[in-house]
Amino acid sequence: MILLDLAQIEFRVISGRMAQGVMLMILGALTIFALEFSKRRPEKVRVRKIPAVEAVDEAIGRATEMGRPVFFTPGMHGIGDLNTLAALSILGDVARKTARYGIPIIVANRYYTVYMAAEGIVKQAYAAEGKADMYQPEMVRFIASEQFAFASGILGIFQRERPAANFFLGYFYAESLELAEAGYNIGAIQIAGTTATVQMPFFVAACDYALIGEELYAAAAYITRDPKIIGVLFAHDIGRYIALVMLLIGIIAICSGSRFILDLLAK
Amino acid sequence: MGFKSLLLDYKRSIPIILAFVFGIIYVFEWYIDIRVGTFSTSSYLETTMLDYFNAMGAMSIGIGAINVFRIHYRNVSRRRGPWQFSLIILIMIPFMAIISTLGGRYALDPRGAVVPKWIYDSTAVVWNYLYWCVSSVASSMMFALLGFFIVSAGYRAFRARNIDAAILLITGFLVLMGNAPINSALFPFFEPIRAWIMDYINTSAMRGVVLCTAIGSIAYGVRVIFAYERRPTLAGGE
Repeated sequence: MILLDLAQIEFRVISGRMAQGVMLMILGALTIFALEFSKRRPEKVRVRKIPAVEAVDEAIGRATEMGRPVFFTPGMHGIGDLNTLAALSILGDVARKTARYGIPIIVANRYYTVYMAAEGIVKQAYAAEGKADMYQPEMVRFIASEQFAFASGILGIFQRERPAANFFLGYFYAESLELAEAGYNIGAIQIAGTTATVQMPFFVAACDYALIGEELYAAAAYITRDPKIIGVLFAHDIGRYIALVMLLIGIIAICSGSRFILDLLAK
Repeated sequence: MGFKSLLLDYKRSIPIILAFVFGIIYVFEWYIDIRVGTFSTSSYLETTMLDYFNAMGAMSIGIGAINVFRIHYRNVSRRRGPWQFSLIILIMIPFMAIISTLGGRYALDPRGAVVPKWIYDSTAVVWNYLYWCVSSVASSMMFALLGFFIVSAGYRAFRARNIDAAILLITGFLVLMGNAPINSALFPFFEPIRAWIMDYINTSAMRGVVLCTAIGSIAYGVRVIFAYERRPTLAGGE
């Protein structure tokens, strides 16, 4: 029998990450506080509106009127990426709406694991709306894992099936503008969101509504209209104020020749 | 949903518990390394556990392939849309899978220990042609298309319809003049303007976005790890 000598166990804070850890704990605690507060006092929660989320109903309504499908892609990253998780959260709500209005949804995936999650989400959304019989296996598609094969597959879907509303949510690379421009050319109303800073200008230029950076995560909460979850936006805002105050302190400290903030963050 | 009912509903509770346990472990692994002799939790989680994750991902390849075959088989059997392309896919996927296994960069037995060497030599030629002269070229073509899309999107974005678009137009013009080699040769005074816009205005705006994204990521992570997010992503939804 092997006995572990407790004296041998050594805990070591990894150098240069202590300040990060403290910040993470502060922001994490703040988020839990905001979520609990909004759960107990939902009437007190006032959050900013996100125009792109407000436009989801408009986009799906337009697709319903035109009798054309809704297109959704959760981006280029795998299931382990927060962008993808946020996109899949939004997919659940979008799929429920398409099921409610009786229009098809096409979900294009690049990763097998994301494909499986998306398939389960769409299937459940149709079942939750009492329209399980309307669900078709072709609605959720694995396109290709190679970047531009994936992009050209989606461009083909646009040309053949001509969706009336396109959702590009998740992490994207160079294909972002190809998708957005091809969607514009078929006259679809387009809602995009990504945290990829390089791709944001493309989406802003070519889409009707864009979720910039953190708004993608905020949208995943906001679209539920559930005050218990929407409270997290309150935490986002307080987090920003904390970051802003730290930036101001840092600017003042650096301008006055002090390295206090830099040394603190390097611990 | 209460805690007790969550435990009783194992289909929902197991993913939530797993997300919580592994979420916490991975968060703390980034900050604290627990060592017992030569064993390090950090290196174990960063290498071995990720290998498990990759293996699980690889196992799901079959499910993706089944979906592709199902969709394209239906297209062919119902003669739906341009079904001829679906037929090409149905033929080429297994063909490329066999060729890739026997020859080319990812061949299982390139030295001919089990499979005769002549099979590797002959299939490698086909693999090289299909990969480098078809697949790779098609990808490059798709990437090159981006140039035309940038022009058409830029044309729409830079029309000075309001004050914001006018500022964008002027900024875009200055950066364009500073970036194009011929312009910087003919009009060198654009280069410092471009550098100033990119180094100060652009960088600071991007850092603001990155900072807010980081805050949003933390809040979203907390929502997932502590099971505030119970929509389909995790455990089958409410």
